[in-house]
Amino acid sequence: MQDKGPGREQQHCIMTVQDSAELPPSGKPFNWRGLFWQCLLMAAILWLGYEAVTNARDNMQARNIPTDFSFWFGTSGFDINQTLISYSAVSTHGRAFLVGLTNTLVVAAAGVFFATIIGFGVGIARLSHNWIVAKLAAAYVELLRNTPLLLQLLFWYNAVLKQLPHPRRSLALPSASLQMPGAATLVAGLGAIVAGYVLIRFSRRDAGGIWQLLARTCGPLLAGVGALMLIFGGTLAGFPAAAGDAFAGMIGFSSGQYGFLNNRGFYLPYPVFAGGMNRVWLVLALGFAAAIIFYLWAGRRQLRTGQQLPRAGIALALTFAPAALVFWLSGAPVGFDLPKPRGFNLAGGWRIYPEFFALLLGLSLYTAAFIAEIVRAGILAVPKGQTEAAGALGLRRQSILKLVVIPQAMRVIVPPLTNQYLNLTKNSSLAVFIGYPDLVQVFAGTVLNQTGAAVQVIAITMAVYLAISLATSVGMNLYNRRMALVER
Amino acid sequence: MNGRDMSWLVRSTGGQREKLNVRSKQAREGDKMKILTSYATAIAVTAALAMTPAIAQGSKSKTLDAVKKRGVLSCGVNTGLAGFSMPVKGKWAGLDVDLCRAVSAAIFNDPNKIKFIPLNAKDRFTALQTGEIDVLSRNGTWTMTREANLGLMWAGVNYYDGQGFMVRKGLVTSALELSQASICVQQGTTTERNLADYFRSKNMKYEPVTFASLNEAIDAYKGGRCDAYTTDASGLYAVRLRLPDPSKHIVLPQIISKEPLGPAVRQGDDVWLNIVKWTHFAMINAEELGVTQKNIDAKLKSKDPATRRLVGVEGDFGKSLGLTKDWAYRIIKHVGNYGESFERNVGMGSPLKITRGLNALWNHPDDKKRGLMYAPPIR
Repeated sequence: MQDKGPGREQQHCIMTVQDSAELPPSGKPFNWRGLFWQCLLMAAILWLGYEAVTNARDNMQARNIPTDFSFWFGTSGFDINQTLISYSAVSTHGRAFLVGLTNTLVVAAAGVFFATIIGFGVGIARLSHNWIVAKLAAAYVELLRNTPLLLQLLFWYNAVLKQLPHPRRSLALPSASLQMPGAATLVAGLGAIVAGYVLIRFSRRDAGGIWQLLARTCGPLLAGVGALMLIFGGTLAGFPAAAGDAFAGMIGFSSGQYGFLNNRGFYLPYPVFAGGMNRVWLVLALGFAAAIIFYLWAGRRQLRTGQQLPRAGIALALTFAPAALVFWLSGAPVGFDLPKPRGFNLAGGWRIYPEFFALLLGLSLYTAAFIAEIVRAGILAVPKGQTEAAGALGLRRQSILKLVVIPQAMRVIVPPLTNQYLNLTKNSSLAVFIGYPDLVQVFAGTVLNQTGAAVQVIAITMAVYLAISLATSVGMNLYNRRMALVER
Repeated sequence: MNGRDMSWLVRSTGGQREKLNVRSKQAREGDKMKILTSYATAIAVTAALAMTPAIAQGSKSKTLDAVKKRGVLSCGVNTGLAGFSMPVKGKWAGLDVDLCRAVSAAIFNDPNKIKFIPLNAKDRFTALQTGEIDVLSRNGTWTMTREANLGLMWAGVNYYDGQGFMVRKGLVTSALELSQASICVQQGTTTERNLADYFRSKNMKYEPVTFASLNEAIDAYKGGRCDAYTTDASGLYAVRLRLPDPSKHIVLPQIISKEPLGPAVRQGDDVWLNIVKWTHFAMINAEELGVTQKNIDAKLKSKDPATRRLVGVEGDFGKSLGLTKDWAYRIIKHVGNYGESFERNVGMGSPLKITRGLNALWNHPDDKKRGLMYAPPIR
């Protein structure tokens, strides 16, 4: 048919649509065969699952292996040395499970915290322009990434922490107290800090050359030495200076033994707060709330007007300064429970077990190596044009990193970072090899062996790790979504 | 032109659609056959899966049949406990190992047809429950919970022991002075619970340092992480040998528990239980009757009825166990009697030098040296 205008075309279309009224729009019959296969597969999977469960249960019952969860309420009969909650040999297996769970959560949370900090630091260091720093960071990453975690844990536990002395010959840590620095220390220290600062500022303005190199290295060095002199005073040079002396630093050491280090743990004084601390906690909480409000307000102000304030510093000061003032005014209502040698070990104080410390150290350093590489990848993924543009705007290197590069790098960093957090949580189960009573060691080790309920115990342990990992990844995904680029 | 001439499209699709609908009758029949065959295969596969064949067991002892078929006895032992089960120059030796060798000799007439599987305290019962091993001869304590709750059965006691403490010489002289001490212990053993019970009953506090494997526990004690190491007394003597300077460590006199050590098998196979049990009893009866590895051939000509029944000259006691007539002869010939095994592994002929004590025969001629080893008669 020839073209007779749009009207005729449309009529044609309508006719053809009407012609095909008996067929669905796709033109194909309903996929009955596909549906049949899917139902069959679903039925097969459900049947397999059912068979597995009933088969296991029947066989276990035939062998008189317990199939229920009544072991949960049985008396455990064994002790655990590190518990965050109260526990004794007459507690139930369920309570032992809680002890293992809290131990795992503590080491995982602490591990995640330290691994992130160290990882970010090493990752950024690896991109430094300072050749030695970059190579050291690279060596750290390569060494720790390529050796098995278990070997590292055993290294920290056996080769390092076990070499500490016996409790009867503990290393005593001298007690430290704050004092007014002496006149000589004040002059020398402050002078060095000011000189270093001037050098750093000077090095930024000039074009280059040997003087600038010297200034850039000596400036921070001088400032650092000045700070050390101010803080430690004469003890740096070897002669202890008492308070009031001309050479006294801000921290004075006395001969009292307030902390101990030995192969059974790190003992520190445990603060015992008196009633007067309630006011201090209240002021601290109020200060914290005020700091948060200030931080958010200052951020909005910066976006609106472009004027910057040192947000973090002022927030910290708002949190702690009023509380510290109230603390001093109340007469410092805190006593210390000191560790004292008693019998075989030390009693009292706050004890950090070598098993916990070895596990934390091993996990953090190992995972930090992986996080360092992720951070480096994220930073390198930000287009170089961003750095150059920020430089053209006149921002300093630290500001470029903090304000421009890292926020964009976070989009690339966060998903693999979640992986590393999950790895760390699951790797904490290696605590079994160094005697740290985590969930696997206590529950899937001792409780399983004492009760014989292997299937139930392992199922619960796996479910718990699954829950922890899912919670972590949900949290990280929420954060990721906030960071994501909103694309059209 | 205002509109495009789409009539060609309509025509072509209409034509195509008509073409799709028009298939030859043969083609449509073929389609139907394909669909029917696919349904039929689906139903056949489901039916085949559903009819999981149940393997009928007609023989008396499933475990014995499996062992004979496999050709080796699968024996669960310790990772390395001197005197009980430890590889010495590549060959496993010990009191528990000897029991496994005796069972193997009874079945195969060869004490070396064994696959030794070293197990930690944590995994030993699971290995037995799941069938990975046929017999667990790993200085395991016979307790009610283990028999009632784990689906296992003990086939006797081959060593009567008790739990004790080892400390460095000069530290303390009695377990009652161990208040506030750190004590190394292996995880998942009766030791852990006995330790808790003892300190609770004496109202003392202590710090348990638990490890999954024996080696780590010993390392921790060696390194000074703990003041005392606790396990069965026989184990203490064995562990002391492994320390760099054994004379600097002492075993405290207090024995704080009953630890009847013996081999374990799975519940549900009574004939296999009997095999292991009577192997052990044969060794004790042999010592009672004075039959040794050296003189057993001479004893074949003995006139004593009990000896004749033991060596298989009279009666056929092995038959109902699925073994041969000379089952006990094989055991004594290849491994020796209980006394010989004891002396060789943990007694005066070994570095451990443990006295018979509770493990002496019940009818030792010297009143003061009588022990608990008593076997039912073979008749």
